[in-house]
Amino acid sequence: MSGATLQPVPRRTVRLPPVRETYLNVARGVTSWLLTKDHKRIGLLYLVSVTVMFFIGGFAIAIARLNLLTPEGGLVQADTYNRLFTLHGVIMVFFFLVPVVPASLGNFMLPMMIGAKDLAFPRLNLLSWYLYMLGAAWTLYAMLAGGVDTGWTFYTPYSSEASHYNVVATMVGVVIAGFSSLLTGLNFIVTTHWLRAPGMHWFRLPIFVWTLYATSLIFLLAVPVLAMALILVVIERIWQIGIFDPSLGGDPVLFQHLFWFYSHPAVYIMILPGMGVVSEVIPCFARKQLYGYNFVAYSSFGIACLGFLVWGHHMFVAGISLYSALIFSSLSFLVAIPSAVKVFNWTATLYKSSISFQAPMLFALGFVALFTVGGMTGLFLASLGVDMHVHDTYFVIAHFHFIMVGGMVMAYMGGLHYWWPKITGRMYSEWWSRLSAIIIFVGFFLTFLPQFVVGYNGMPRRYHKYVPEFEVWNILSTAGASILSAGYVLPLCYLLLSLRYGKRAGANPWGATGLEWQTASPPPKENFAVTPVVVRPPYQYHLMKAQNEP
Amino acid sequence: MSPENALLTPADREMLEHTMLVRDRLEEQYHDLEQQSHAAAAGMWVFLATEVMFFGTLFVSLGIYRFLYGEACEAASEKLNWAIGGINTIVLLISSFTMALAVHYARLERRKALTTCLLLTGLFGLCFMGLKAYEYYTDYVENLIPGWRFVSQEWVDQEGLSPDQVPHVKLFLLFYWIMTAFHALHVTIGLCAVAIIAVLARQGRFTRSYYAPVDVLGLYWHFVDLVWIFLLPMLYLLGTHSADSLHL
Amino acid sequence: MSERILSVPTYASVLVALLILTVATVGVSFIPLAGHWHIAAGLGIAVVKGGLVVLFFMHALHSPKLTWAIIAVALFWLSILAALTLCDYFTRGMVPGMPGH
Repeated sequence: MSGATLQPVPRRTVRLPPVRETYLNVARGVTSWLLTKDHKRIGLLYLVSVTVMFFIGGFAIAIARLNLLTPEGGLVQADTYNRLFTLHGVIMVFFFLVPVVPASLGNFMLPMMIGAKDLAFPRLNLLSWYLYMLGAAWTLYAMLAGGVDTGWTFYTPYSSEASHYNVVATMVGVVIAGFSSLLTGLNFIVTTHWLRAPGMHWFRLPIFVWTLYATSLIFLLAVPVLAMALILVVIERIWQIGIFDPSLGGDPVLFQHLFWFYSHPAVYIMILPGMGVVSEVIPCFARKQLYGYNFVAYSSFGIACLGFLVWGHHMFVAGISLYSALIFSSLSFLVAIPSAVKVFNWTATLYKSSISFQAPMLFALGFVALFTVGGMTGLFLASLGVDMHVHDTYFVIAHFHFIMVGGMVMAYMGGLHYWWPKITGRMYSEWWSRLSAIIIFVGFFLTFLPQFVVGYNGMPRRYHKYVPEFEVWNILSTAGASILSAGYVLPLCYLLLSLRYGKRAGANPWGATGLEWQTASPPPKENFAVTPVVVRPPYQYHLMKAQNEP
Repeated sequence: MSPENALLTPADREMLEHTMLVRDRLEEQYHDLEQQSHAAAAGMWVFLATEVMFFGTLFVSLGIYRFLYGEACEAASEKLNWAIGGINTIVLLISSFTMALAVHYARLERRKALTTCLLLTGLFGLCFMGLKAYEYYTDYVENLIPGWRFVSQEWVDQEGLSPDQVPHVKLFLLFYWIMTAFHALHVTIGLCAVAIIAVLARQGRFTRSYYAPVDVLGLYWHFVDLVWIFLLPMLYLLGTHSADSLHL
Repeated sequence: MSERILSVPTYASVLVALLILTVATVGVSFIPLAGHWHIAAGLGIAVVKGGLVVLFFMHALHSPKLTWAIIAVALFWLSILAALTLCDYFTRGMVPGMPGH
């Protein structure tokens, strides 16, 4: 710590050396944060907000998971159980997983990675955070004061007729939050097109930027459909005229079409930025150029496009025509191709490289392993026959948690640990961070692997009790969940402690390439003292092998 | 030093004016005004793409219900006031034309023509809203508001529909209300924006090198017109009209 | 933002074309046709009118490639939504002997 060497100085004299001006100390006070237009500060606002939402959503499912410790499910009433898993789903999907990496890390890093001073529309960026907060507060209030029991999918006629809880208010909250991600997507796309530094060609962009771009594309094209579908349900509930409710002349399957037109691509919103993070972390800690850059870049778009063609595989048992089910099934298999391209390229990057196992790398490797399991089990669900058998069972639950928690949350943790020195200017405890990566990985496997087994054997999702045969597996799962939650609380502690006690990080503690590492940590308000000029493609680690070992 | 300073040559004055303009309007993340206006236009186009999906969802849903419940939808469509729908199309098209001229004159820095065209656009927009309000009133009189003013028996007796089909009539009419109201909301937002931009134009805020707000507003306005172009056949013209169905 | 400037007569002729097409589309609704032909005619004319508005009034004709890309993406994704949803509804009941299909 350079500050430690300073001698006590008399009051009212100027300290030497003067404190460097960063985005954190350039202005002070609450209003300077609440009215900021700086993408870095907005990124931090998002970071804090999504963390709060994560722990709220996690708390809800912790109770539900404890309830499943015994087959009778004695801890909470069936009705409470329904509201708990709905709370968990709605909060985690719409208020954590969707914004977590794009709006926090992406907001912070995108302009820095392309050498810009800010996003294209800074005021819109701030508005998007306020919309997020409004949507979150609204939804939380609706779900805590009364609750919703439809599940995060809001299927009609559960949501239009059967439920007597705060469905309308929750949906309005989700729509408001949807507008927030829409504005973020718009901002990212225009920024990437118009604000790249001189020399930053498309094929010199870091993969994280590519994936953010692809994610934004999904935001822009899918969110409106969900928003409109939810608005239609709200109208139906308020005026009692059938749109989706069969008893009033509507068609419930149409709601599922519209819902999954958003919500299946949303799965890729929740994984693409994670893939971007991993593509940054792996080359850095393997000290090797990313293998097959072009293919990794293109495959992001492949995923974003193909992701829109497969939503029907959620509806195989909902009464869609057999013909379209066949089409959706075969299209679903195609998504595996670009996903596999990415996994193969990461693996090839690791091959014969010099790997160092710091916390970001451990998280990234965990991502690759868990994502692969999640992706492979996805193929089971894409095939028509198997899906009929395991539809709406814990097999599905385990599958998408492997992608979303095993994939995205791991990647998010990896990104957070990777960029933490850049964001805060401090290093965290190396030992504790590695420990937490391992705990999360182990806890995760223990939680969700048993769910594949019970799901395959027929335990349906969303029930608050189950037949005694499944008890052992559920105990294992709950035990894993306890380990997992310990793993999530740990980073909260040591990262916060690092703010005060952490070693000061230099501009580039990992010896990474990429523009964001060429400016000070934490960066100045305008990101770069001089607009950088880019002369090389990204990830040229083989060129800097000799001088910059981390 | 101000641009009015008599000691300046015309070339100096132009440069000074440009410098002041840049200092005034250029946001820090852009290099120059051209980049800034390109970004603004791109932003509006991207926003309109999301609008395509917003309205598209409604159009696709309506299309599916038209496919499932053809007879009921056609019967309900024939009851709508196609004459006002058609006239409103013409009104909006003309407003789009004046808006296109506004952008044209903004680009040529003809301040007066710009303001006039914006005011005309606003006037036609208001005319559209007025006609729309009158149409809503006739719908009220003719019991075309499901959930409030709607008599199921009329549709069975007069249109020869079976009682099972009446909910589908309601469904279609509900879509009519949702879609036209959603469109009217867009027109209202557009009218507010036109008013603001017209005031700014009158104050002479727009120049040859800075007229992005007019351009972006134009894109939005044309898009709202575009939506109505598709609403006309999808709502008003689903069935065959007879000559005596003139409502005016 | 487009580079080239269209002339006022161009805008005027586009407007005239749009007005003629409007009259045409309303006119078609008086011809006794089966319902789906009305939809086809109405949407067909609307597509032409929409094309005129986008190309001339919105200056897409002289806009950067990015604008074209955005238009193409919006139309393509809308067609995905329409095609794959309608694909389900149009093909229900096509497989004989399958209850509910």
